[in-house]
Amino acid sequence: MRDKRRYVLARITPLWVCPETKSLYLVVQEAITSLWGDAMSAGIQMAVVYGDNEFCIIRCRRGCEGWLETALSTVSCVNDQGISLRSYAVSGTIHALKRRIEKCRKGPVPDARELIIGERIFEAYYFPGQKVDVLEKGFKSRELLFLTETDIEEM
Amino acid sequence: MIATDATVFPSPLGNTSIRRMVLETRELGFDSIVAIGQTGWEIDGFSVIGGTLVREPQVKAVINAARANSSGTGVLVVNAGNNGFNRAIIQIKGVHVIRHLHKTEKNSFDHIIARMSAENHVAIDIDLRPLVMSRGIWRQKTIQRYKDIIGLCERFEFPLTLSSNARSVVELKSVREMVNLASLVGIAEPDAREALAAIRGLIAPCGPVQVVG
Repeated sequence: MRDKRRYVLARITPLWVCPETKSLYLVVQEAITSLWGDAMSAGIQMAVVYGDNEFCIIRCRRGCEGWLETALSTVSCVNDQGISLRSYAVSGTIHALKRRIEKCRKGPVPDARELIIGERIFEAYYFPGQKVDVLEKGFKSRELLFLTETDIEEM
Repeated sequence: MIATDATVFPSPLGNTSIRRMVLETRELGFDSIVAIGQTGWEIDGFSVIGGTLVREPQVKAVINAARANSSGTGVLVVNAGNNGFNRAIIQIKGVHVIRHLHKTEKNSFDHIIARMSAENHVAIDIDLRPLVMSRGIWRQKTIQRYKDIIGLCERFEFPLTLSSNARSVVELKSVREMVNLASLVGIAEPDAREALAAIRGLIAPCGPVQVVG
């Protein structure tokens, strides 16, 4: 008989990483397996059913949401890019979670603006709430800074 | 609900400014953070508590830091060392938190130091960063070490704190995530929430009952 499923909505930070669903599946599977072992990860039956730049929906067996959420907390990078997956909601249907996404989506990834600090050139992404993610443009180093608009004005 | 992230490293120690740390941790459910290398300030009900971290395994360095922090508004955090060092620093007035016990030997924190910690109201920090970043045998060793400390905590009731040790926005953890990660080492949810609220009690401990009037 088919097992009952639950769907976990997770928010992806930072917004401009835009990981593929396959990459998300591999890192989440690795996190679950290294934390809980092969036997429990087989029981959780994880699958990534939806993903965009800000949210992803992960399926698991009913009763295993707590284990999945704890494993999501241990995800730290995707494709050598620092990332965090924070569980936001749990539901029995994908439809309910997609309605939730529409309510709390922050908007599309803004276009990068050029920012010059000293002699260095950065790409700045301005998000709502005064948040600014700054990524250095360069071949040798790609420094990443998380700032606010007030910090930019003071520089 | 009072919830404090016991140690974060804003710029220049990390890649995130203190203002950005405040914005992010507020969204994650916290009402205060201990920011290493920063002075304390408050905005719209959110407190940034200044923190001083002593990394050197020398008692003299800890005494100097405690004297510099004598105003009592900041938090003094000390990296643990061997058994003798831990015994010495627990008795220094002004030391609030001892961290990184998972990196020390097994006998560096025994039942005697646990009792002294409870008597002197010095908290032991459970650093959640190794649970997130490590894999395999190192994470297993860390979990086992923390479980030993939790066992002593249940017996001697010294205070615990939980910290993310985040140097970046992506390393910050929400209250719910910290409670879930704490459950890996045997901390039940009520105890985890109590640990998240412990910092306030360390800075301003309750004194003995006074009769007024």
